Amino acid sequence: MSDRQVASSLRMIVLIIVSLFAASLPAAAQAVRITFVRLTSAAHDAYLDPMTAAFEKANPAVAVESIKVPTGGYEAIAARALLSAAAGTAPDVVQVGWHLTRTFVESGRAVALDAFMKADRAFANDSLLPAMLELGKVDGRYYLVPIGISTPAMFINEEAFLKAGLDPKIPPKTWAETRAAAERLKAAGFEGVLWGWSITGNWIFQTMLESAGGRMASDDGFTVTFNREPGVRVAEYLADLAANKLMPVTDQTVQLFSSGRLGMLIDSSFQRVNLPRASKFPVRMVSIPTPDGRPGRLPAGGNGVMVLSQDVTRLQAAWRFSRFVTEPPVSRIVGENSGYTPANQSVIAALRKQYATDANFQTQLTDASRVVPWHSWPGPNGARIAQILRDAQQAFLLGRKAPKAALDEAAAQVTPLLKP
Amino acid sequence: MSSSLAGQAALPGARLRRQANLTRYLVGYLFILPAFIFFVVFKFGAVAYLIPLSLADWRLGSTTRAFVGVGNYRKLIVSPEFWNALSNTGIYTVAVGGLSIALGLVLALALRRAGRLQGLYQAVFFLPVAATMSAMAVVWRFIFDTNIGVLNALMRAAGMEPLSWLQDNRLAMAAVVLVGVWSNMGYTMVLFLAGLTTISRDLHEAAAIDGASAPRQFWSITWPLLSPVTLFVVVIMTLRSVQAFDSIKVLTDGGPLGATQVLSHLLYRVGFQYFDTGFASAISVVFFALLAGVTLLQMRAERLVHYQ
Repeated sequence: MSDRQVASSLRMIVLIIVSLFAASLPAAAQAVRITFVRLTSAAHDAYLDPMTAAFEKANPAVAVESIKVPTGGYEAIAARALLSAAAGTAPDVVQVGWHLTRTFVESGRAVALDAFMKADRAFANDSLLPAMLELGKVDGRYYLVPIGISTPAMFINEEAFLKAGLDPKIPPKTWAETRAAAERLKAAGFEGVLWGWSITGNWIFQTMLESAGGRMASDDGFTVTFNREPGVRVAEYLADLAANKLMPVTDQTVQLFSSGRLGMLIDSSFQRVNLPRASKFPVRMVSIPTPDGRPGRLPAGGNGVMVLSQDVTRLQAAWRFSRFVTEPPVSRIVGENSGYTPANQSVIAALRKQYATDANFQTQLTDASRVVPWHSWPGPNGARIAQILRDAQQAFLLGRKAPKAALDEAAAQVTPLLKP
Repeated sequence: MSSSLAGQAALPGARLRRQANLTRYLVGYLFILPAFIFFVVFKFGAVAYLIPLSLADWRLGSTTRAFVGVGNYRKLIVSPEFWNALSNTGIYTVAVGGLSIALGLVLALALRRAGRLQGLYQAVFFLPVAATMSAMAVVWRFIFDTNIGVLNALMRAAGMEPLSWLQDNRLAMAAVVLVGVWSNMGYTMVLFLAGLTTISRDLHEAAAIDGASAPRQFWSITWPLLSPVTLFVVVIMTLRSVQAFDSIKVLTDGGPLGATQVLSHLLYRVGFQYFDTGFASAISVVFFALLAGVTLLQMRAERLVHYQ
């Protein structure tokens, strides 16, 4: 650790101690304004706007200024927040995708929240889904408070299924069944199945790989293993679908599905609310097919909030905001208005009862209980590696390279980027 | 003796004139000073700041920064991504610049004869220039989409096989060039129209009386007298094409497999997706040097320009 990193860590520790001390004092009457960098779109505003409004109502002394980033996803949010931090105007709270947690931590800007979690009795540590809380941990310390998680899931166009002579109530559970259903759909004039290969580079690939018994890398993260037999099996399966025109090679997943031309889409469970609204036909959401039909491993997508405040008063308010997103009222907002499964277990149980007849919601809640972490590459090159994997998939899907060769080339490119 | 006396007498006069000139120019300099300071700080200052950044290993927003000397430039030289982007930038610039200039000139010449409808046509062709490119690119993306695109729907209706416009290397480059030309030819057209109005009709009338045909009039009168405008258009179009980013980002995001990745897109990806600010700064410095070099070369072509 360099002197500057040590100095930065010491400064952070002093800041947290002072904040914790200040937290024990009566609340100051003066209003505090915190900035919150977040996603914006109809689907994200549906839970973020009421969440922010509920916080301001419950905490009249704190005003939240939302800095909305409309395009570019989590990477654009990270760029915006890190750029502001470099300019000395770091936002107080940032909405961060799980896969970018390490990027923020390694920048030295993220505040470790362990001390707040322990000291703040109002933080309902025990009521949170442990697997979800663990997702926000880097090198043994908590940095990200979960808003909600998503899992890969399959969406079925019921109308297309019926026209192809398929029963949407008996969805394909194995890869072979999925291929067979895609053939029937194609014969009926539809596009068969789209495994969302383009979603953040490797999310669906990792899901398929782990379901096939493989792993992205060795346990220490420094040896690439995605090009071994299970990875090649995944690549060959996808390449075969594309070559036989059973899978369109596009990254316009939602648009294609909602146009009614696609029979099956493997995408994020976040689309549970969005897709039926965007489509003019009934949409069924089911668990993602696996090689043998048994429930597979599900890497967690979704996001949480991270604190970057550099000022004692704002740090306190930022923590209060972060704690608030896990509390029952907000967890309910997230659960009901988005396809994310919230962190609060009592809310998950309540939603399960309340929406007992909603098959899609039940699928989402069941799948969320068996999430595993999304593979996080060690070192600073995670985003570059995700792009390499995305390109490799595109290469074999477009038939430019053989599946094994594409994965081997990707592995050769990734290995030097993983130097400890 | 007399000359030295005359010299002494001239001195105060010259000094006074210099002082008067200084006072007169000073007011002018004071007027441009705010804009000049703004320009130096936010343009030259930003470019100058890139140089120390390019010599450092710095992740965007990181609290630590390490000096790596020319390490980022070494990385650049051996990076296949960089050479691919440079080559794509050259192809894109020549294609978009060349076609936009040629079509803009043709449109300008045609519109001069359009009579009362000239204003309407001018507005129609200029509209893409005024439109927000990223929004227009979204529309183009839906036109080109393999599965739900208008273009392929028309091809299917005509009994043709649909094409993967944005997934095939060559077609993807052609598609982004097409959108680039569409968004720029109205701009060059307006500049050429302005240039054409400065050419005296007398010259054409005299040439016509001497029996010169329309093509001869174009090559011997119009084209040489348009050369100052053409030089300006070439410089501006080169800069606009080299800096193209938003349409490529929306249409192909540099894909498929880097087929449309130009330098500006690579710069964005390295800086704002990989957060490798040091390396991105090195790309920026090289990018800036290349642009400055190309522009200087083009400016040297001024001696070929005919002024009336």
